[in-house]
Amino acid sequence: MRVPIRTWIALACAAAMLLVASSAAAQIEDQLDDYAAANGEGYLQPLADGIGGDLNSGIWRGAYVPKEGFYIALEIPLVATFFDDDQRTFTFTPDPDGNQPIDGASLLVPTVVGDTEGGTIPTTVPPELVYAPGFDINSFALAVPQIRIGAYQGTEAVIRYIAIEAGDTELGNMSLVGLGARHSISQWMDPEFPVDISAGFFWQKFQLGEDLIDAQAMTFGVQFGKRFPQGVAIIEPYAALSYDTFKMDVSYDFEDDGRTTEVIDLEMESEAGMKFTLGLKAQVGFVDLNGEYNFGTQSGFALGIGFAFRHLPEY
Amino acid sequence: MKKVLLLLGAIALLGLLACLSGCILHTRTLTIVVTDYVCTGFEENHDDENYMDETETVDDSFFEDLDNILADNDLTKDDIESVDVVGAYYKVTSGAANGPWTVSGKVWVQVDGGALVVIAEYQSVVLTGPMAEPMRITTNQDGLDVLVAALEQYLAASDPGGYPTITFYADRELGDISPSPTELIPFVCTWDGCLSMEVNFIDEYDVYDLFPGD
Repeated sequence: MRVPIRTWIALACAAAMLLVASSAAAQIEDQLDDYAAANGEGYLQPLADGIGGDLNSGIWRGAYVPKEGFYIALEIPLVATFFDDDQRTFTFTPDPDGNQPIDGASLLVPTVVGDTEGGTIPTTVPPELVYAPGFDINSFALAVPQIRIGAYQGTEAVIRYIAIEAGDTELGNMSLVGLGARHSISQWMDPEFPVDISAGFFWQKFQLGEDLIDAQAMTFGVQFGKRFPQGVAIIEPYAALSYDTFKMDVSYDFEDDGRTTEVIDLEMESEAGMKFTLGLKAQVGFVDLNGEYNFGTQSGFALGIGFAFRHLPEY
Repeated sequence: MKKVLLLLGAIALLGLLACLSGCILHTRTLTIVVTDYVCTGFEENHDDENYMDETETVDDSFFEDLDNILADNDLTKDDIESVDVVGAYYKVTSGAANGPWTVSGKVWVQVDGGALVVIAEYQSVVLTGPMAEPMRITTNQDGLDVLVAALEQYLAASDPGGYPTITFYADRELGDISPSPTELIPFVCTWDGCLSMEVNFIDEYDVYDLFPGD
């Protein structure tokens, strides 16, 4: 029996996202069990920034939204964010009721993306305070498949959905749900208006591991672009301005002095802020490729490929 | 034409997936630390000014205590990259009544009957009775080096029979207990000398890093 091409594409997309994000849960949880809440946040903050930056990227892939017609596209953006040197360390916070560091002890320790050497902070009473190593990560990437459907009166919808259950393995479960829409603003303007303008919003919910990570991302933005027919291809440079938010809840077991275990629940937020995007898209028939770079609180880039079925009046 | 475009798209996707698994997967070697401390108990009983001639010696179950630390953390010696001594502490556990007493002294270490080397010292510590918490004292690098060498022997030993013998000595070489003990008001106490250990073990993880940097 031949497997339909759409099944192969769906499996490939799921595997892509799984490859990148799946093993992170078990690895990170191994290091977290030494950290109570205050230090858990400091250790994980770059991960929150990276996931938020990735999820809020690569969504729109241009500015043009047809006024009428039907199209459905499967798109696979690969998004990546980069970590600054500042994100490789954080200031360790001793438990006020626990051992205190000696005067002059350095409290700057690795975050999850920082140096791979764990160590101890000297204290006035034993045992010394232990800090966890990082994983020496320079960038964080996700492949996030999505489906785009349009258009109705210049409005299209984008959907992201992946759900993978790995049963009782160390892997745990992973799921991503995303919903959003955008509307063509330029359709209401003079037909000779030189650029395409659209505005949209997108909401996503991401869960990783048994209860390790539960995150929500939102982005609101405006896109500007212009399409240039070039033979069989259409080239579209574009720019975008957006406001991104991201929050992440993390839950893990904390071993206090190796004797008692308590559940630590962290509520983390990335710094909400503006993001500026520059990109280029090329469409040939039903295939399109795009690349963009994001300038913001968490810089990064996105590369994408899309396969679309279109039935548009303009074609 | 459509078939060509479909094939190009599939190749691009497969190439991307192949790169994801092979191009961006990197192995990271992490140094993970656990810490705990081992203590040796000393007894002091001095009733005259000749206390400086009296030395307390303890043959310690030092390495058996380390074995217990490893077991508590689900580790074996094979998991260990290195063991370091990162601090020394002093704690009176009983006695030291009729004070306050101001004491100074040194703790020596001897491995397998070799030379005595100072490992820690304390100066002008005021004692009024049992201490709620240990107090950090100064370590001596020469003594730490002797102990670290013994730890390396311990790690290399295949069974407890191959562990080196550790003996700790406490004396009053620095001089003093003040006021000087007498028969009427003796200086009697028990105290622990503790060494804080940092056990380093290595673990490898594969991480995805599209742009690993330098």
